[in-house]
Amino acid sequence: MNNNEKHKFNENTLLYILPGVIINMGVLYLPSSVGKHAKQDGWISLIIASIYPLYVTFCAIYLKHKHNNKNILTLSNEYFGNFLGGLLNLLFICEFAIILSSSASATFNFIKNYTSIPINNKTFILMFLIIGVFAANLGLNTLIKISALIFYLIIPIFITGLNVLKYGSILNILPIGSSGLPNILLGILDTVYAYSGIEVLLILYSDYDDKKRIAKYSLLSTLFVILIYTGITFLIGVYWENSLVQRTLWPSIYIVESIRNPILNNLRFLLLYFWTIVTLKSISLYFYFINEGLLHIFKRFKLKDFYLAIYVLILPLALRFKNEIMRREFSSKLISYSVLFNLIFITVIVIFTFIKKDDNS
Amino acid sequence: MKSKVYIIIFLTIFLFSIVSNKEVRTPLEELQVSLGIGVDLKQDDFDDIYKTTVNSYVFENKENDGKVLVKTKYGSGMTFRNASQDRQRKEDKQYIMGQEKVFVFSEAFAKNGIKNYIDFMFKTSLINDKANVTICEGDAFNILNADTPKYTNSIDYLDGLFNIISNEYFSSEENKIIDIFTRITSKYRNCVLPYISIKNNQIFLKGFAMFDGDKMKILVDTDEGKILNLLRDNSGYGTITLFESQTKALDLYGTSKRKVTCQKDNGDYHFTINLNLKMSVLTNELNNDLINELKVKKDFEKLASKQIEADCSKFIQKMQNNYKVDYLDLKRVLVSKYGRDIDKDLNTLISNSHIEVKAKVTITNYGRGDY
Repeated sequence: MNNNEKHKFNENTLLYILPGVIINMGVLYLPSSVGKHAKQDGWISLIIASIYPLYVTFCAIYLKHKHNNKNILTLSNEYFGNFLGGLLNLLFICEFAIILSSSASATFNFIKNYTSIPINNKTFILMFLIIGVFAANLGLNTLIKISALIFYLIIPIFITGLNVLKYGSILNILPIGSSGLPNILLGILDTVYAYSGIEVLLILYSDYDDKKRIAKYSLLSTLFVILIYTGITFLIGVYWENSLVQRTLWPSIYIVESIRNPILNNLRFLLLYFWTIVTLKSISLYFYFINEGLLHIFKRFKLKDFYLAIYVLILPLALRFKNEIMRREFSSKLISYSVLFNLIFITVIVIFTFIKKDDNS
Repeated sequence: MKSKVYIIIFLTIFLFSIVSNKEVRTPLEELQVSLGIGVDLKQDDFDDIYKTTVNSYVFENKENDGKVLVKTKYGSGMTFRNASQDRQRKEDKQYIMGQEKVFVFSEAFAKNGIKNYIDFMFKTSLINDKANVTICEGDAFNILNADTPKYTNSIDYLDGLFNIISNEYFSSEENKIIDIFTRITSKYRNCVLPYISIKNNQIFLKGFAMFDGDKMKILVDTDEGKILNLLRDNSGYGTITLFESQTKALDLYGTSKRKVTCQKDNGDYHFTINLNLKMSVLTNELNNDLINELKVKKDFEKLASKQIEADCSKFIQKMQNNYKVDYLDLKRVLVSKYGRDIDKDLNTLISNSHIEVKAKVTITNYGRGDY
C-alpha cells in the first residue's frame, strides 16, 4: 500500500476498529430478522453464525504469520496477476460499498420514522455521506480515536439494556432449542449481513506490527461483537415474545425504552442520536477501507485518494433503497452474494498460501 | 485542503435544504398537546360507529395571561381515522402527539375487540408507550368530559390514580400501552386492565377487566380482582383481613411473589402456584400476645395462608368451570416447559388440569408495638 502517513497502532486499535466497522444499523433489527425462522432460539443461531467472523479472523491470523507485510489485495495480485487479481479485489471491496450505502439509507428511514425531520432522503443522504467522507479523509488515526470513544459508549448502553430483565421473563425463551435444528440453521442465513464487515481485517493486518498480539486482539474484538449481538437478541427475547418482535421494524430500541424513569421517561431520542453517530463512524471507516482498496487496485493512476469518486458512485446506490422493507430485502440479498464470494475468495487465497509454503520447503 | 472541499459541499447542501424547505415552524401558542384519548363504539343494525374524544392542552397568548386550558373535542366515523378526520373539522390548532397520559376505552368497544386501535397505537411511533390504558363503564366521552374540581381535567386525576394503583388490591402497574402490546400479541398470556366508573362526578376504580385475546370478557369487582392479581404475577401491595367479628380483626399489608411449577402426569397437567407473601401487621384486635409469643405469630401466619388458599381455590374453580379461559398466565409456564407446538386448545387444557395453590405468609413487621 502506498500509504505515506504513519499509523499509530497500539494494542487496542483492533478492538476499536473491528466492532466499529461491524456494529451499525443492523443491530437495531437483528432480533426480528434472526427470529424469522429460528423463533425464540435466534440467539443460538447467532452463536452458530459466528463461525464466519471467527473463520475470517483465523484466516487473517494465518496470512499474517505467512506474509507479514502483504495483505489480501497484494496476495491476490501475486497469485492471479494484475488484471484478474485487480478484478477480484474490486469485487471484494464491493461488499463494503453495499453495506455503506445500505446503512446510510437505513439511518434515514430510522430517523424519519421516529422524528419528524423536515428533510427528504436525498438531502439527508447527501449530507450524511459527505460527513463520512470528511471523517475518512482525516485519516485512520482520527478514525481510531472516534471508534475508541464510541466503543466505550456502546458498553454502558448495553448494560442499560440489562434493565429488561426486570420486566421480561425467562419463560419467553424456554424451552431452549425447541424451534428445531433446521430452523436454527435457517436463522443463520437470515443474519448473514450481521457479521459482514469483518473482512476489513484482511486489509488491515499488514499495517499492524506486532505478530503475536494481532491474534489476541482480533479474536477479542470478534468475541466482543458476538457478545453484543447475542446479548441484545437474548435480552429482547426475554423482554418480548418472538411474535411481538416479529411485528416491530426496529425491536432492539425497546430494550433501552424499557426504562421507566419518571425524569427521563423516554431514552429513545438519546439512542436515536447516539446510533446515528455509531452508523456515521461505521460509514467513515468503510469509506476509508474502500479508498485503501481502490488505491491499491488503481495504483498506476497515482491519485492521492478516491473519496469524491466513491461518494459520487455510492450516492445513486444509497438513493435506490426507497423504503425500509425494500432496502432490507435488497441489501440482505446483495450482501449474502458478496459474503459467499468473499468466503470463496479468502479460502482460495489461504489455500494458495498453504501450497506455496510446501513449494518452498 | 481536501477537507475544506468537503466542508464547503456540506454547507452548500445544508443551506440549500434550509432555503428550499417549505415547512414553517409553528410557535407553541398555535399548537395543542394531546393528553388523553377516549374511544367509544356505538353499534346499530348496520354499522359500527367509532367516536374518539381527545383532551388536549391549549396554550394561550401572553396577552391573555398565558393560561393553559384544556379542551375536549370529539368526532365520529366508521373508522378511527374517519373519526379523527371528523374531529379535525372542529379544531383550530395543529395537534401534536407524544404526551398522552391515559387512554380510555369504553366497555362496548373493549368487548368488541381493541385490536384495531392497538394496531394504530403500534404503528404511530410518536405515541407515548408509557401511557396508561383503562376500560370505563358507559361512554368514554363522559369520563373525559367529567368535571373534576381542583384538577385541570379528569385525565390528570386518572393519571394520578393509576400511578398509585399498585398500593392496593395487589395490582401491578403493568397497564401501560407497552404492556398491552406484549399481552395481546401473545397466544400464551392474557391482559387484565383496571376498570373505572363515574358516579356523581367522582371517578373511581370499580374492578378489573379480564381480556381473552383482544376482547374483554369478564369484569370482576375489586375483592375478586385482588385474588386475581395475587395469582397472576409478582404483585404490588395489598391488604388481607382475618375477620372474626366487627371488633375482632387483623389486617396484614404487604406484597407477594409467585412461582409456578408444572408437571405432566398421564396426560394431565398439574400446576402448583407457590405464593410467598411478606406482610406487616397493620391492626390487630384478635390476640394481644402477638408480640410476646412466637406461637401466636405462627398461628396467624397459618391462618392467613389457609384463608388465601381457600380464596384462591374458589377463584380457580370459578375460572375453570365458568370462565373457561386461563387468566393466570399458566399457558406460558406450560409451553415454556413442554414446547410451543402443543396442538390442543390450551384454554381447555388449563380448565381440565389440576391447579393447586400453596400460600406462605410471613409476618415481617409488627409496627411500633401492640396496643
